Amino acid sequence: MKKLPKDTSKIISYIMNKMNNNPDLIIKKLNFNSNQIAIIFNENMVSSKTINDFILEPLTENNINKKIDNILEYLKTYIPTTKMIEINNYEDLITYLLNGYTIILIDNYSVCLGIETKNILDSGISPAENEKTLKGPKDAFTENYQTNIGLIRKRLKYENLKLFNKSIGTIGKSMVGVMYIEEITNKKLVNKIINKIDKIKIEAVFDVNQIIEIISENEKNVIPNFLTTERPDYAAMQLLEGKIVIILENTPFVAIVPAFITDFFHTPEDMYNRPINASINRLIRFIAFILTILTPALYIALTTYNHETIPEDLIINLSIQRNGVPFSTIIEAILMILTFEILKETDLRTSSKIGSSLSIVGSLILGNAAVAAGIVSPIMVIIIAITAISGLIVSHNDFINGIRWWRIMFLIGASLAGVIGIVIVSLIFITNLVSIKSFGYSFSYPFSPFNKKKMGNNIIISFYNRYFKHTSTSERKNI
Amino acid sequence: MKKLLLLLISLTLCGCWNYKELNYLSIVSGIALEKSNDEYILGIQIINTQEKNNNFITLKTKGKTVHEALNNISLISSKKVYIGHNKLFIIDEKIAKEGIEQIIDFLMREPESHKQFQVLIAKNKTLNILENIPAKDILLLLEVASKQKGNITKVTYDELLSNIHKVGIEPVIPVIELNDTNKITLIGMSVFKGDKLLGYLNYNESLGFNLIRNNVKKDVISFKCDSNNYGSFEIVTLNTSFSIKIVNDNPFVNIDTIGSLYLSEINCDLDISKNSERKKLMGIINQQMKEIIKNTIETVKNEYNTDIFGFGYYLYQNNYQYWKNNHSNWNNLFKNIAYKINVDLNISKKGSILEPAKEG
Repeated sequence: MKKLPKDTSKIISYIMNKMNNNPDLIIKKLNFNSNQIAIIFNENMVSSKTINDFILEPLTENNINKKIDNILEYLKTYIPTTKMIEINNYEDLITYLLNGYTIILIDNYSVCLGIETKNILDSGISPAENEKTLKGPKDAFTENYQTNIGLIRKRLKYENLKLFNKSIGTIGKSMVGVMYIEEITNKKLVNKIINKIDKIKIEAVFDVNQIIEIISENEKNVIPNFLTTERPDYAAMQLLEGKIVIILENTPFVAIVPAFITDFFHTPEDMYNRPINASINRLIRFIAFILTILTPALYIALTTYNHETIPEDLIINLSIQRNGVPFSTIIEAILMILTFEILKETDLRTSSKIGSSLSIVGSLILGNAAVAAGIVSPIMVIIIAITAISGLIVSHNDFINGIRWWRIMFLIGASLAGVIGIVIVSLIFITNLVSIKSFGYSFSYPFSPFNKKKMGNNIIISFYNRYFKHTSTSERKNI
Repeated sequence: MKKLLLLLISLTLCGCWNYKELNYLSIVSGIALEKSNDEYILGIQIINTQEKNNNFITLKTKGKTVHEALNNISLISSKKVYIGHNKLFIIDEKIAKEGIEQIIDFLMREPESHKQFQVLIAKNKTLNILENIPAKDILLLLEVASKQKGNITKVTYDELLSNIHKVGIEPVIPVIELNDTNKITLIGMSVFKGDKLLGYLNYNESLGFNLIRNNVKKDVISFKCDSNNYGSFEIVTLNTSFSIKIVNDNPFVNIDTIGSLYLSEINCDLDISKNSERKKLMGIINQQMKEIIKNTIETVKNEYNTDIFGFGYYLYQNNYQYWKNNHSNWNNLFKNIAYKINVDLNISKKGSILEPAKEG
């Protein structure tokens, strides 16, 4: 425990050094009753109203005429607060500072005062709407930049959680923050991203996706190479993995880079559920991914080209169902996929009050009436339903849309050449996946380049891996 | 553009360009073949997909060759005949006697057809079988019979094909019969030499054949336990193997049957709790099994003189030198082949009821 020196400027320079000149650290120097006083607090964690009313006001009162002998005792007596702590070493000082305390340093005293001025960051924070979980914290990021940083900081009260601030947009002038944990995150990656953000020339940005699209160099691919989330717990979890969180003012979404393909199948809830159950959930998500991409294509390939692969009883059944349907199977499939996509898009755009009537009409058309009218076969409704349900198991919308694109590619391949067409398209698909780079990292890691150990952690979670393997943060430098 | 052209070429040259919608296909579930006046009469059983209950239609056409007959179905059915799911092929006795090489040739060349379907020989009314019985039922009957009975063995098309072309082994095919009340019965095995049908094995001979070929897994066999009464036993495990030695430049076959059984029925006055009585009983059973095998070999040797057991194939595999010198003379050697049969069956379970159920 390093004791505090009596010289205030020494303490200030130590803190500045330790916190790497964090821009959200505010140091205010005052002259009170011919004594040098410094007030230090973390801007994002404190309520400035409290500091103004209850710290600055008593300190700037001019009606104290007599000379005060023991200024420490005076402050302890006259600052109106419920919680005041005497601090005499650096470690406590930094801990309290990061917890939203305001520190008063007084010259010539080897103790300083910590006064609780924590801002209530949770006010106005609503539950996450897009990434729903059963377990775990319910709060979500808001449009307030300070609140968003505070939401992460209150989860990781750690001095090496760094923040880089910049305002971008010649007209909009929105704040962009790059957060990372220094010793875990690859320094080169941080510099690269900061450089790229520095170079952005744009009038205004309104969502973090806009920034990422500019800096991610991924415009040719439909699959995104970054994650966005509205959950602060997930962002904090990703920071611990050595990733970088990009926060933009006025949007409740933050971006996480770099992203790997397995990340799209993970949810923060995986860490809160029992390991074996979470592993099964992940496997189900992988299976659903394959189902949603391949089901319509496989159905078309098997029923129009490769009849011999279908068991006899099933082929008879399918043949009976196809009986009397006027369109060929591929037209039928495209018709149904189109209907579903229109329904999905309309549902997104309409208010929830109209939504219910929409879903009734949609389910009637998709489900019953189309079959009864003899336009599509019942099995096709099942195929499209499986595809649609499986397609929504991932919560990242960009990824869902990327999957949709490839699903149609597979469909075209299957309708041209059956199973061979599927094989050709899957070769193209895999080539595309392994060629995507996410900020210099291979997107398909840990499948390619293959890493057996990491692969296990990405799909199957073991109790040991989750809780004991990476207890020391310095060992985590692994992405 | 060049890439697109290359892709299109690779797609069209791969040979699988056979786009067919399911509702324009007739799915064939069984094929039967008869011959009259130099023309084949082909019967195909197709599943009726117009109605929901799986009933079937049997179409009949004629042609000089099998493929011609199959193609002539286009004249009576609007849908394309699809034989990729065919599971059954019934050959008429008359064709089999003339030789089946000609008719199986087409199915071998046809890329659409798989080679795992079951082959049956019908003694008469071949097309009537397909007209009256769903192929699925016939297959199920064959499946169950080959598992539960010792005298029936399934023969698939590719086994038949390889047995025709292998040296030192001749094919057999199970036989089906339609009786007057339109019910089917499986009656045993038929004996071939090359691709020609020679005749049929009776119940016990079929059993003997399957015993030698180690095809019997389960069966109930009756035996005479005293002068008037019968008992029966059920096979628990049964394993037969044969080996051939060359004695004085002649092959000598050693057939060993070992296994266990349990007594399922005894109607004689025997006390099987006594060791000596049991021993006597086992003597009777082993002797009977020996007789069955012996009679089979004798019949096949003397009546048909065709090596359906694969003795020649055994020599071909294990004593090639001998086979090379003697294969041209194999018919003669087989006719006079010497053999020894050892049957060693034991009671594994005799049940807790020791005495026969009777009054007194």
